[in-house]
Amino acid sequence: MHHRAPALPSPLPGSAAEPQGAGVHPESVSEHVARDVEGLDARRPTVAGPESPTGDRQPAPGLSAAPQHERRSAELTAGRLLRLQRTAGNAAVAGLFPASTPASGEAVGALGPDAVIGGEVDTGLDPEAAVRDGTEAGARPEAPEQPGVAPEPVGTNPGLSSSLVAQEAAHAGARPVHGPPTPRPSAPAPRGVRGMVAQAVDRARGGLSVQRCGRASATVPTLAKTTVSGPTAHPFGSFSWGSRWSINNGAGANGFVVQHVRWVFDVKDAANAAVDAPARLGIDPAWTDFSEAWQVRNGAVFVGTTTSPHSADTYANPGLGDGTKGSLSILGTADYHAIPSLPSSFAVRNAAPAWALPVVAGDAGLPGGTGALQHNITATWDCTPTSTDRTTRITTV
Amino acid sequence: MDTNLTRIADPSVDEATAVAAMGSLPPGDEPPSFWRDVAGDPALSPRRRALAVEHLLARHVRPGATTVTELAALLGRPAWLSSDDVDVIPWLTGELPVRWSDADTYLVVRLLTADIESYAVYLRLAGRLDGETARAAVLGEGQGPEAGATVLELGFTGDGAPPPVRRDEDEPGEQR
Repeated sequence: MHHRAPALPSPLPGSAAEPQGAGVHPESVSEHVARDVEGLDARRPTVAGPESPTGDRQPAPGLSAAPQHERRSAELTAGRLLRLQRTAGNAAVAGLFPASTPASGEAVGALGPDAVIGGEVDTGLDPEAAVRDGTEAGARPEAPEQPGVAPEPVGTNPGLSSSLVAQEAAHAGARPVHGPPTPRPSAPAPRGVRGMVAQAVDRARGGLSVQRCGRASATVPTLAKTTVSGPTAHPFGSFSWGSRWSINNGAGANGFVVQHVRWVFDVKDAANAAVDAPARLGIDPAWTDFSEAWQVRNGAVFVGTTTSPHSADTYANPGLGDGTKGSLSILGTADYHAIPSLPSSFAVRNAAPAWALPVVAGDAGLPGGTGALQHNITATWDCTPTSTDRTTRITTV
Repeated sequence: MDTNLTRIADPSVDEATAVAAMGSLPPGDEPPSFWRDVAGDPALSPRRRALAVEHLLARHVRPGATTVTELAALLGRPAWLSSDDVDVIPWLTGELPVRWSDADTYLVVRLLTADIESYAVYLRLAGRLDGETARAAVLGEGQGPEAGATVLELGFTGDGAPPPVRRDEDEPGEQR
């Protein structure tokens, strides 16, 4: 049965290519910008925090400390920002960049630690923190979507950085120049490294366009996920884990989050004989590999095509029972697709495994995703009679 | 009778008008029997009948107060509802239109599946209950503690379905 989705506004945001400015050479600008951006990108691991076992990004350690070697890092950062400012400043003179146009809300919403350049600069660095700490600690931890939970990192495409920078430079080249820089209130200049960083950031704010690289364009909606419950382990391989989808740069975004899911079983009994896990769980083998979808309307995610706001994509499994051992994995790969409707093969079955979501067997194989996320859980247990540890252990990605 | 109610129940009224009338009803005191009659009227389209069931429950179940027995009484053991249409949901790899909690029991009531797909009511019942007994209770056949369990949330699927019904304290972001 064809699955009807609520009508979407047309055209979809971002579907039309931006015209390039006549007589400009955005690649040459972008090459300079890209080099500097890559330089900044390369520094990120030094300030990024570790990931927890659940994949949640932890606050970067040592952000409040200011060891000597980090002062050198701050100097390097300041130097890169200055070079960046010169590159894009020249472009501004040539009419390529708006000299002081504040970045749009859309762009600002997209900015983060990888950002470089544009009217109201967001370098991903917090200048106040950098000045305060005298370090590269200005690198700003991403704001959690809600108190107590931290968004997990978005999938990245390593090859995307340069091309996105080029696209953004072309985009910027088509923008009109909006006037002279907005004067900023003057303040006593801090001295030393702190002063250098502060001045570099302030200069960059004067006439550069900011764009993120390494992830996606400032205007491309991308998928993010946040753990909202669990993961919780129960006896005999049982578990429950709730994750919430959200759309970065989601203002006006319309489309679908589509996740390809596979169940993988390796379950045995005490005699090491294979256990038919799908049969024991009541899972139709035809539905151990499927794709499911959530509709995105104006940036908000819904349970399939219903009017129910999305709460959590739930991986819940009741367990294989006493006397079993082995592992059970649910492996998901999810992505956001700016498509107005799902292929007609999707249908709401109101049955296992996806219940209220539009679902199709196998990999839907939709093109045009904007950055896939892994969404995996694995449970291992040994509840056979000779086991000395009957704990269910779970790992997530 | 209210104009909207008349439109909903009148087979000569086109589908779009009838569905729009369902969605524009103000809070009111139309009796549950009105919806039961629409749901059971073979002269009406399966979609309109399925939506009538959803609106019956959306407007007359009080989440956190209505019991499974009372919900079954609202449905009235209709001829269109068979035991195959009600399932316990012990696990999932996806999402329900009600919030998941390991501490509660979930059922789905599929509506008029012989004629249409996609229309269903999802129930979140308080506490871990025996699934089969709870299922029987929804069908109006149950006894015991499952029949007395309260309905915490209702969610609906299908084109034109009403929004979920839940207690204020169960709004999104407050998963138990």
